[in-house]
Amino acid sequence: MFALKYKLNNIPIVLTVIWVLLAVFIFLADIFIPTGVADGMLYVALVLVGLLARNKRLLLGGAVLGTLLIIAGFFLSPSGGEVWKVVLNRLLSIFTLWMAYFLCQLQNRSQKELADAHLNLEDHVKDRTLQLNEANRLLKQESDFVQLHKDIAVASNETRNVTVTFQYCLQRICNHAGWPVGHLYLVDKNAQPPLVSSTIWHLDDLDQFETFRAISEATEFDQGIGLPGRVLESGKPAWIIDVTQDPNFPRAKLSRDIGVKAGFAFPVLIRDEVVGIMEFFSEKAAEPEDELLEIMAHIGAQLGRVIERQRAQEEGLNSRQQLLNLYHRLEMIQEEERTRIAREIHDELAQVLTALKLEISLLKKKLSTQAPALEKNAEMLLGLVDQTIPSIKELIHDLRPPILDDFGLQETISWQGKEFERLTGIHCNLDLNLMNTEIDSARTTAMFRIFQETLNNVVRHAHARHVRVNLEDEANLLTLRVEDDGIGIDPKHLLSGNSLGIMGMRERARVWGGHVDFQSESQKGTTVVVQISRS
Amino acid sequence: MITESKSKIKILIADDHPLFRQGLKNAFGETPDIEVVDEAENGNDVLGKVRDHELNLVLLDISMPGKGGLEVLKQLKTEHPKIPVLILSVYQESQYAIRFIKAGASGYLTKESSIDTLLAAVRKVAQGGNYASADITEKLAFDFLNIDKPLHELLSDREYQVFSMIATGKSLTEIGVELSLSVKTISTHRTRIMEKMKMKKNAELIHYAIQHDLI
Repeated sequence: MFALKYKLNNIPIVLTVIWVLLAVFIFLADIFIPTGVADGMLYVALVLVGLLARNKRLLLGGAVLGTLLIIAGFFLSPSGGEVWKVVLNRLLSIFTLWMAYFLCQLQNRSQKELADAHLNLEDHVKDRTLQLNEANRLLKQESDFVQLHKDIAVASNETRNVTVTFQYCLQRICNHAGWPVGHLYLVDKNAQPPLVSSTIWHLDDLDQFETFRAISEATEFDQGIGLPGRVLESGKPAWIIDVTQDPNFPRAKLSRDIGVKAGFAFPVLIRDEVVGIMEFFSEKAAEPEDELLEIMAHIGAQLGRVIERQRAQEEGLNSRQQLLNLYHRLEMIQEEERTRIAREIHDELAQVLTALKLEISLLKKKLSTQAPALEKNAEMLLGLVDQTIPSIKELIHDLRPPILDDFGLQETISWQGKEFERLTGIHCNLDLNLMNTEIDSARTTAMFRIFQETLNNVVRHAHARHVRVNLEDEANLLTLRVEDDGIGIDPKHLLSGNSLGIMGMRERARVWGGHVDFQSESQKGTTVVVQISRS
Repeated sequence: MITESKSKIKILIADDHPLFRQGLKNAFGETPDIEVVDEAENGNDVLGKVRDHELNLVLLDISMPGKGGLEVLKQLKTEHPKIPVLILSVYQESQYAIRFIKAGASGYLTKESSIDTLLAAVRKVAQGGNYASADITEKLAFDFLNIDKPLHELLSDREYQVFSMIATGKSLTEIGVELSLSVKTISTHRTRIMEKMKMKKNAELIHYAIQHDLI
């Protein structure tokens, strides 16, 4: 009990025992030594033991007990000199004892201050370390966010297809947040319901989240319904700590265990319009992370660009397609109209003119015997008709040569080549090798019109003296090659949108799955290669 | 009188244009020796009416509605090979003329020809002769002249290329690879070459090539 008590008072037992023994020993020594000897000084040892024990009570106890024993020694010790010396001796001892006490007390205090300062410093260091760690954590988080942002920005600026971009972003955000499930909804304002799964997912484990995936893709969300519906309504990120406990999370009710707990979602925005929603899920319930939600708001705006760009591209493509359709349709209408007018002129005008000519010839014959004076008039009429017939025929040919419909492509190109030579004086060498002359009328027309345009270009621009025309069919391809020995085409001319003729040729070929290539070198002529599919 | 009517040229006019038919009838009516026995306004009509009469000539327009002129001509020539057919057409291109003459027409005349030319042509063809305008005759003559040219000059550039390669003993597959064309295409070329050069075997072709110093 004794030892325990001292232990509890935090005084080492050994020092206490030494202290007591010292007190007894010095007192006994004092009693036997005459009072004139300054043995009272020895009581300083008690104070020093107190100092050694770093114990205030022992220290003060040493000083007080020493004083009492010095006074007691005055009465109990054998006399050893003059009284005033003895008294002075005893007083000096007491003085020395208390001096030692105060010095020790000072020493103790400064030591305590030092210890306190130590302790303070340690606390300070601990605090600083904590602050530093926190700062480091924030810095890492910040740099992770920056990296995430950067990666997403790069991905959304790359011109990959939208699915690949979003797939990557889902994966990247999942990795960042440490969440295993990411999913994209696309918003179609005009559809009912407006939210449809894009079926673009990131899943850390396909089997584990299969139920959730199936349920999500089968669920339709209206404005305000479920996690994505909420985000669609508010246009802001949303967080659910535990979807199984949330009253507005219909997917949780569709299966006993949908395999996910915490969820957050944010809108993909084009300005204020929500065009998509990204949602992420974790298997564990989790409290909202403000920074994450904040950064996701930025990413949402970034990803909006992807959809905006895709829309612009689609619009561009659509309007290009519409233009092409329109162009094709115009060409068709023009061709139909030409065919119709040519037929009309042939069937009506040309026939009437020939009949007229026949009648006038007869008339002239009759007049020569019955009224010779009028024969001249009939001859003039005949002359007029004769002049008119060739121009009518030319008109028909310009509109649509009948040979095109009667004899097909090879014969028409042959005819056109010869006509070209006759009209322009440019020598035309024909090498036509169609195996199978059965080519449908639309393709025949397209090829022939391209050929005409090519010859037009030769006459107008090439300054050529010879043209070589080669027509082949190989497998499913019709190939027309027109070579001239003229001055060549300036490549700039080929690329500029101004040369409508060349653009027209290309578009005509494109409609039939083909293309037109121009190979040209300055002063070394031009080769035009036209290829279209036979069917 | 009887002999005169017997010697009359009996013709059938086939043209879809009534005005023109009327003109022709008027023209022939003025002549003592040509008689229009019937008219037809489309292909089938022609084929039907040819059977009803004994004819010396059919005057056939090639662009009538329904059956194409060429088809009508071919059928006519199969069913009645002895009746000469004179084509009367608005087309003056030699392609038309040659095509129809090759298909069995005895003459080819454009509708703008003068009435005298028309009458002359009818008379000539009815007597078993042939008629074509000067430039068509010329064209036909050149085609004929071509026959006198060495046979290999009838080949197109591509055909000549294939011809030379066959002559050097290359297989069709090898030629196909070299020209980047399918074997089927090469084989079609070969068929055409053989047709044009009137040959049956590669050996003949090689023989020809050696004889003409082509390899």
